[in-house]
Amino acid sequence: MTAAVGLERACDRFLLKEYAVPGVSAAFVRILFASWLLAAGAGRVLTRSATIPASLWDPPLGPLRLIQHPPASWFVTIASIATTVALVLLFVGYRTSLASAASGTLLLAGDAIKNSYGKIDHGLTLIALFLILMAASGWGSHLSLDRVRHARPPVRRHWPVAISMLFLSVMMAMAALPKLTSHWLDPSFSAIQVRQFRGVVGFGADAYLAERFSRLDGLVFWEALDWITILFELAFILVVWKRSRMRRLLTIAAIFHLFVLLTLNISFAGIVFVYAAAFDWSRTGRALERQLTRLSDRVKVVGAWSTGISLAVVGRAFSAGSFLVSETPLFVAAAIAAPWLLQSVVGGTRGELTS
Amino acid sequence: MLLPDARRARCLAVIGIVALIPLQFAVQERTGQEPYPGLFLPGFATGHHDATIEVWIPRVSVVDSTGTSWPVDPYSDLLRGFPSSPTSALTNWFRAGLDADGDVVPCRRDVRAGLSQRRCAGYTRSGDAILQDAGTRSYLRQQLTKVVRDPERLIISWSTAQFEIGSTTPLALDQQIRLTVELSPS
Repeated sequence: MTAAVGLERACDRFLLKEYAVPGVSAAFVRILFASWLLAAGAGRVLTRSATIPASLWDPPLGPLRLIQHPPASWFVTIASIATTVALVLLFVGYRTSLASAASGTLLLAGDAIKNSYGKIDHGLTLIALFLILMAASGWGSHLSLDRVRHARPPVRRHWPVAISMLFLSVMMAMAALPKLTSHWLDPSFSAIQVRQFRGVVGFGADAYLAERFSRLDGLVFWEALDWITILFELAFILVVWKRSRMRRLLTIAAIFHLFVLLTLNISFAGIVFVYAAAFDWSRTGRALERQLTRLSDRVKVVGAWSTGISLAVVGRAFSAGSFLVSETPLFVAAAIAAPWLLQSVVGGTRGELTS
Repeated sequence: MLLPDARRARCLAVIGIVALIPLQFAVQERTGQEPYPGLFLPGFATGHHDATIEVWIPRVSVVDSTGTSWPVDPYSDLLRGFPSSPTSALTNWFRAGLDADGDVVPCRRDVRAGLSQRRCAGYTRSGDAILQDAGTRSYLRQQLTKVVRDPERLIISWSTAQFEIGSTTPLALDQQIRLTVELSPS
């Protein structure tokens, strides 16, 4: 067997088998994710940019450089409503693949426009890519109106999750490299300490434990955090090839994100839903499915639409400005991850998340 | 064979995604800009550490038609309702103003990370012009009417402050940038 053939087989195993989970598990993640996106007002990403003066328009290197002015208000309105509609369709599982691709594409476009006013945020790119990739996963095979309609069940594919994990790992590596090549590891100061302190005294990032954390002294402690951050970010690209190791790292990551929120007031909430796709939630998904089978098809249809639309209304009405700052998923993810991690270290990996 | 078979194509896809790491990094280093859509999580700004930490602190005030000066919280008063991205963008524009001698002040002068310095070059280039733009001034005036009835001038200053580690009380405050934006419609 040549090295090339071995590499091709390894790629195939990674793409087709490594991140395989039952369809009901993927569907459960779909519902959770769409619920959060709707309730957090994801459809309003674009409309919140609409009030910014056009003089601030300065797209970064990319396709939007071709556009001289911000998009017209009618485009913003239509795109914003379309995003919310696509997310409702994703939630109820109606034409799920199309809804997933559409919501991801619209969010990516909205994010690109939002990032064209002088600063790039990083919370939405992976989320949008994940939705686009998962359009090919068949995650509408369960817990969906597509299923109720007795449409031909979609083909389940596992490579979208594998590719999502790979993109996540690339992102993390890209976060580490500029740190390695700048002064991040300069032993005469701690980059995290300065960033954290500047947040507290400079621009009011003093919520949760941030203010107390800023009072901690000890260069060794802070310098260790600098190193741990880089090692953590580089670890993804090393362990992504093996699901069991990646899952363990993802649980550490969930706790890491909560720590970052509490001490630096930086929230990457949506990313934990991408992490969730690597785990098996079929026990919870099947329990939900059993509850739903007791209902008539008519009740299921009415219930799904009314819940989806209610989430959209709540998100659009009450969540202005809160998207990606909605921090609840970080607390929940850490609360699930911590005992799982403890169990996997102490007693081997068993249970819901590891089957 | 020009077209690879399915297995080879899948493998090339995996290799291609991993190759984004050096590719994006090279583009970033060369252009000083973060390409978009990029797969980049932010590398934090860095500062210096010995017994103290130096931090740049923004102070914003508005002068009304009677000449009275009112303090403004740039995050809650001036930029209320903004998502985080434009908030940061505006504060970056503020920082890229002119100093007392009329010289352009480099954005994030306290940052020693090479990457951040290069990224700030873009802000510095046009920051003052953007703040003086009629559209921006109109927006700022509209926002500031929530603070005072008749805002005439916005004064933005950035000071460097020395903090002893473990304390949030500044040892010294040294004003470095002062920028005035005339808000009157004329």
